[in-house]
Amino acid sequence: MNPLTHEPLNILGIETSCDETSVAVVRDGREILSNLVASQMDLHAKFGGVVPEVASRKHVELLNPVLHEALAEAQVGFDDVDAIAVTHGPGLIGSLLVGVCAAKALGYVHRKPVLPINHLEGHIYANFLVHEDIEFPFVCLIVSGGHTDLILMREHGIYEVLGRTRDDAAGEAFDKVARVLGLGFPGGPAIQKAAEGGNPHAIRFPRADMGATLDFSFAGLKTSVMRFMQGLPTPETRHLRASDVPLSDIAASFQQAVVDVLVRNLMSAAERFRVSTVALAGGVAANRCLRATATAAAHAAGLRLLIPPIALCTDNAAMIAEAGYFHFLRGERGDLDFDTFAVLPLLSPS
Amino acid sequence: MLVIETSGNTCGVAVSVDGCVQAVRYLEDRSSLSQRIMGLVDETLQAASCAVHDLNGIAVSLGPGSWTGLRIGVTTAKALAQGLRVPLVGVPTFDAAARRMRHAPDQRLFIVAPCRKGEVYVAAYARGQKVQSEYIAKTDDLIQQLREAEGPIALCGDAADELQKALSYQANVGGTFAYYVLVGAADIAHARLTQGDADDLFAVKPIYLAPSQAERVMGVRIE
Repeated sequence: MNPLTHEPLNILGIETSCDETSVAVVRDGREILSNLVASQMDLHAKFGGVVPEVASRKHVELLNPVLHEALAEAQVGFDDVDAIAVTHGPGLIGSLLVGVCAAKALGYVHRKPVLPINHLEGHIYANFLVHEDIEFPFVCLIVSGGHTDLILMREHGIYEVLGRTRDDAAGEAFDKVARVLGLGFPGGPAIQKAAEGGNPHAIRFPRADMGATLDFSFAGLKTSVMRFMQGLPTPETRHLRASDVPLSDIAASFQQAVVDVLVRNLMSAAERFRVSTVALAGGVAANRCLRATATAAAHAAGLRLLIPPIALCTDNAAMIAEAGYFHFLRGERGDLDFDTFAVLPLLSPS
Repeated sequence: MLVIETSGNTCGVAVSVDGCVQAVRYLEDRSSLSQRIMGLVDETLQAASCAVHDLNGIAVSLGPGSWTGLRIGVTTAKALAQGLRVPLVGVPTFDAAARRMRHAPDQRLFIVAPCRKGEVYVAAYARGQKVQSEYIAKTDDLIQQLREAEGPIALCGDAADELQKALSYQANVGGTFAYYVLVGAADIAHARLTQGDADDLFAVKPIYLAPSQAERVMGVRIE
């Protein structure tokens, strides 16, 4: 609710950081009036990965009709919008520019504040869309195709990075291993499907231990799977041959190795920083194995675990609008000359 | 009407009345285009003493030219038109530049813009008609063609300086390319809007002329 007028507060969210064109309207930080996502996944699958130039071109074609639909579905006009929240990084620059330029033009025409939002912050705020009673501080694991970050959130807008991947992001590891296993793109859903009914303990793929840090590494795991598939010996798999192991077991074992490391660090962070709540966010948080393993671990440790519904884990504009809502409540009004960033650390305001 | 040109090295915004440009503002540094574009629009509107809600049309230069620049211009124009609920007209950049350019009856006008290294975007006009549609030429091939051309030629665009070097006589018309584009686009768009001939907002997209590198390398074509 708008603290001054006591009218409902509507935030228009725009997200074009990668290959999803998404526009949403969120009311009072609670109610998703619309959250449209036009995915280009089928196009990029032809290339085995996201092609930045193709993604940028598609955003130009898709953004205006998606915006039209999102407002129509929400039954909201521009006059009813209080602010526009738009992802300005991290992401593909050419893609980000489309959302940012559209947001600025709309903000200018309708004299609405345009709030630049960090995509990672948006992922965390997917949790606030579904829970009103989140207690600070909490630790959030953001896992996606581009990121694997452990974040301590002390307050709204106050973040501390506790750990991050030193090489591949978890989602990237899924994509690369899926390619090796001949499962196609995107790798996360493909491996999850291939792992169904497989034995996650069939092969003990390595789990990188980054010493006292809460960092991650998936390059060694990826290499181990590659060597295994090529029939080369590895310390973990020397008595097994790829041809003797069902694909479902290989996929399940790889998936479990990724998930074990993710959950291990999340639990370590919770213990080290004495929080009682942990959260998942990002596209890889849609993975059923991660959701189940994290749920069991949190239960055993007596922690509250927050996981957004799957539609809010993958890239969407409702989470951007949600983060924008809290920026707006803090009095941020933005201007129209902000930049876009391929790399944009999640920083607290100084 | 608001007119936007972002295909070239210098970007420009103009406000026109009945197809005649009343105010123009330029941005020389294209690297800050996405940050500056709304400021540029605002300054131009102020210079023309025009409020944004007084606009009853948006015209945008579609390219060819810088892909990123075009996306910024086209996206901004589309969002302005959608937000204001006014008609949008997309104008091919080279048609706009050629529109009001005076040249002798026997003279051939080549509009040229830089593409990848060793290549240029080019289109040709004679007697006010387009005689060669936009395509990507090897710079060396185009130089050869210009040298062998019968009759005088005129060159205009961001690649004109480079091509001028290969010619023995002065062909480059000089001036600010963005200005020619804005003036011509205002004229063309006004003529079209007077006929009720606006574009479908959702269908307007830049003229790229070439697929992405990935599509070329992998032989995949995205429509």
